[in-house]
Amino acid sequence: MSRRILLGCLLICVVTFNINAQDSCNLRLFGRVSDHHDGSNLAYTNLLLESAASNRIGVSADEQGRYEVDGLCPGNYSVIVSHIGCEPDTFFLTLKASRRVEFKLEHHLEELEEVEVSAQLEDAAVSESKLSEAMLRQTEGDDLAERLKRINGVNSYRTGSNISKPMIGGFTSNRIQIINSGVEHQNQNWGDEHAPEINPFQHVNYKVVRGANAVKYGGGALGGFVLVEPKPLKREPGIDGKISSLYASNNRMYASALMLEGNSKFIPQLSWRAEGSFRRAGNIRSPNYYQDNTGLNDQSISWNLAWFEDTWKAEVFYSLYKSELGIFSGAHIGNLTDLRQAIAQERPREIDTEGFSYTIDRPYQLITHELVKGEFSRYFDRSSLKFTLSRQFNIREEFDKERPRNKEIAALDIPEFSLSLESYQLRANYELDRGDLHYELGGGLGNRENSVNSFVDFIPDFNSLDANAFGIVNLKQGNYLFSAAARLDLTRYEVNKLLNREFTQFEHEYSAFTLSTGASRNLSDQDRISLKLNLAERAPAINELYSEGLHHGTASLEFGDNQLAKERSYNARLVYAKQTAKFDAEIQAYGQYIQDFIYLEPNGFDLTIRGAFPTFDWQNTDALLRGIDLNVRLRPASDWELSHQSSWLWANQLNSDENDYLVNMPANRIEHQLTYRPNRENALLNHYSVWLRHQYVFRQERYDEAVEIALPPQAYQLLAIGLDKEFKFSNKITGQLGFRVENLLNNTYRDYLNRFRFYADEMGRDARINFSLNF
Amino acid sequence: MKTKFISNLSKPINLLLLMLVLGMAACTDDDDDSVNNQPGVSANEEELITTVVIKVKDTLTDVEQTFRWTDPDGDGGNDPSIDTITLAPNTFYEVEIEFLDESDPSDVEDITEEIEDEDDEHLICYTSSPQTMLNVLRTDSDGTYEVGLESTWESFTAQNGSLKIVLKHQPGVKDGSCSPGETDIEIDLPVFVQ
Repeated sequence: MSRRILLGCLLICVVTFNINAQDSCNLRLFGRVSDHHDGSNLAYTNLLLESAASNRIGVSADEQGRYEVDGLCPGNYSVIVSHIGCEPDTFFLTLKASRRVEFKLEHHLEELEEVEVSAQLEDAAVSESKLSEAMLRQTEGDDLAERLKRINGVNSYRTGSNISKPMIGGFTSNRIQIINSGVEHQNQNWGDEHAPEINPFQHVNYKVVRGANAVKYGGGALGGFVLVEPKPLKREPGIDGKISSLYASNNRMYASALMLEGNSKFIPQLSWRAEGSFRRAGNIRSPNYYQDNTGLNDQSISWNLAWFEDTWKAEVFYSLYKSELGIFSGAHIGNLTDLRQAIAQERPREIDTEGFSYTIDRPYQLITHELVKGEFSRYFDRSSLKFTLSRQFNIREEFDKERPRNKEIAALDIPEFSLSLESYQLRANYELDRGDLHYELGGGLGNRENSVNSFVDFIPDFNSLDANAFGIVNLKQGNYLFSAAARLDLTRYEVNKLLNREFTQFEHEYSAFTLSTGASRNLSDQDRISLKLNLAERAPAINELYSEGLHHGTASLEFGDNQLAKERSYNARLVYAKQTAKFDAEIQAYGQYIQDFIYLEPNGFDLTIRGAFPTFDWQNTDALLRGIDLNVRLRPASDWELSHQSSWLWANQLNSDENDYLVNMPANRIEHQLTYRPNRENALLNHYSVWLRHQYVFRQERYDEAVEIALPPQAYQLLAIGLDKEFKFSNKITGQLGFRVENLLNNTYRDYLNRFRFYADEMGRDARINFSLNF
Repeated sequence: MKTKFISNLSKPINLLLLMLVLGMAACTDDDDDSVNNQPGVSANEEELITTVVIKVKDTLTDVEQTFRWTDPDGDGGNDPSIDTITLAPNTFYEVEIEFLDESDPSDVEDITEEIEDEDDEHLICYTSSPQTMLNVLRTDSDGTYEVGLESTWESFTAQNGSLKIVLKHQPGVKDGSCSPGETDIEIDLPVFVQ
């Protein structure tokens, strides 16, 4: 368990106190106690301070979780923090000057909620959902998008079974930004079949921030942000760790991860963490056949080192992720005739459904992503300053099914499509907290350099420079909370495009402005209402400007337009949340109007030597999206919980002559889960939960025939069942065992959000077992 | 197609981070560059087929005609140029087909040889519409199945129509029929029998 020391004392303060405090015991320790998972205040917590020099001092926090201890002597302290419903926990800290410390406590398993959805109190303009600890455990080892889809309103947009991208409110790729360890994840994000390179085992929390309003994370993400936030480092002496393993029956995936973190009492300022993991999976099985060449193989390592002082912190983070993703051989087609044949046949050909194998052959993707980050934070009495410098390197290599005909060249086994992207980012953030008033200012510089290393280019070589600045202010007035934020992003592209065997240079400059406001009001202790309004602009992405070429999986030609205008989105979101002992509910209703929405417009057929291909051009249009996300949780008895979540979306393209539907928008869906979580004295029965989940996904009826390659698949429903058990071997050693069966009834279905829905059925029954040991 | 490494404006950032990176087991960007890092040149460039040449010889008169389907700038861009095949009625022809990469006019590549080398993985299918316009029989063999690089055509009564020519890549799945495998080429040429 770990906690972060948030704010230190002003530098002058420190100097003064250090001089005066050596012999006098007049130091003050104050702060707040909160829930480790949702950040909520823990009222009436007991704190017990012990040090070698002084006697025990006990204090209680107030109803807001605030505590304060005066008259402390300088020295090392252990603080035992206890709260009803939480494990008592011991924290170690060194007191040289008065300081503010925030303690975070871990809840029992039975107190954990399945999906915690809460509007962050600090920023009324932001709507944030977090993957709960229980869900994190249950989905450990799954791809990012497959984990995030447990959050209502978030979907997984897939290409086959092992390439998935998070989709928020109907948007993915260029309209979603992933923030990994505080850094904008820079990859070939534009591609539908380019999954984010995120370690599936990393010791992190996942959050989804909806709308473009979270300006501190970036501009232009009209759909929202995915935050991958490493958990706080261990600050007390000793070494902790975690071993996780899992096995999945369907694709016979086995995976393991090891995390170690520690701190030494000899150098209490230094904390570290190191992680490593791998996954290996073979062909997935649909109810009636195996899908050949759908295995995956990935590895990741990461480490971080941090030096903590009262007034500053320095941290270095490194991560490397490599993956090899097999692509279903039956989804590789030569032309439109082949695609139509694939759509017409009920099941893939025999040769593409031969059986199980771990071997990954062509076609496949080979991806490497590396992140290095250095961060320096300076804490003042009520404010903090943070600098982050990062470098990312991304290599994407795609190997086609067919090798070159020329035997000599084929023997080289080189990728048909290969891109490398190198990017640097420098960021500065300043935060000032004046109790009821909170400011944040920041700015950044970045560059991206994209190199095409293959003959197939699809997108060109480019360099880009980005500069941005933002400001946020949050104000609390009684039961009201107001927020306002603004951000400006400047982007400059320098494009080197191959035209008639010669490089031609193009230059573009874009500015994008984001403005967001929000107000929330606590109607009572139990319910809260908030309204968020924002305006956001997004500059066209490189593929929208310059893509040129054939999409193999969809047999279509795609052409960029370097004259595209930037998008402008107007978004309103109304959130109402109510929480009582037996009942939680949250309803989010939103509308988003996007002027100059950039989309692929069908533009007849182009004749090529492989026949005629449908052609799509990137164009500006206007679009309107409306949606409702509903979450309800009932606790009729202390052992039982019933939850409902549903997500509804209407998405239109507003042409002058007709109203067409936007393509690839999630169909409406409903999910129910019944959880039994006995709370007994009996140690054997305690600490476990059993759940049953039912999901119904409607057929996507809102589609545009002119754009769809095939009609959307039928509605489907899925059942899943699971068991989670927590073990306590000693005070230090705990374990978790999870067992679940997805697609319990082995239903045959296809999903509209899977780009390979033309070729094969979805995965059949999958039983998964995972075990983790914390020490 | 590698471009220069450092953008001018971000140089200080690069240098600073470089120092950071050098101390670590950083991965580098020269993994695969040895093969294809010269601008505009790539080892797998030869894969492109831009042109199909059909050589038609009247078996009685030995008069040879050549028809071309060509799209030298590849997918998109300019439209392909397509010849109309003109044949005499009720005549037998010996036909050879060639595949070329003419994307670089100064260096035309003949892909036909590579298809001959792997003739057990390739099949060329000819479909006349209407069916009663032309009868095409493949005359060459990979040892087991026909290939289609050589064929005889028999024309019937005077009429207009089209001929579809499909090159299938069928590694491991060739069974003499057109359905398995992937389509490498699918073109239609107008035909006048007059």
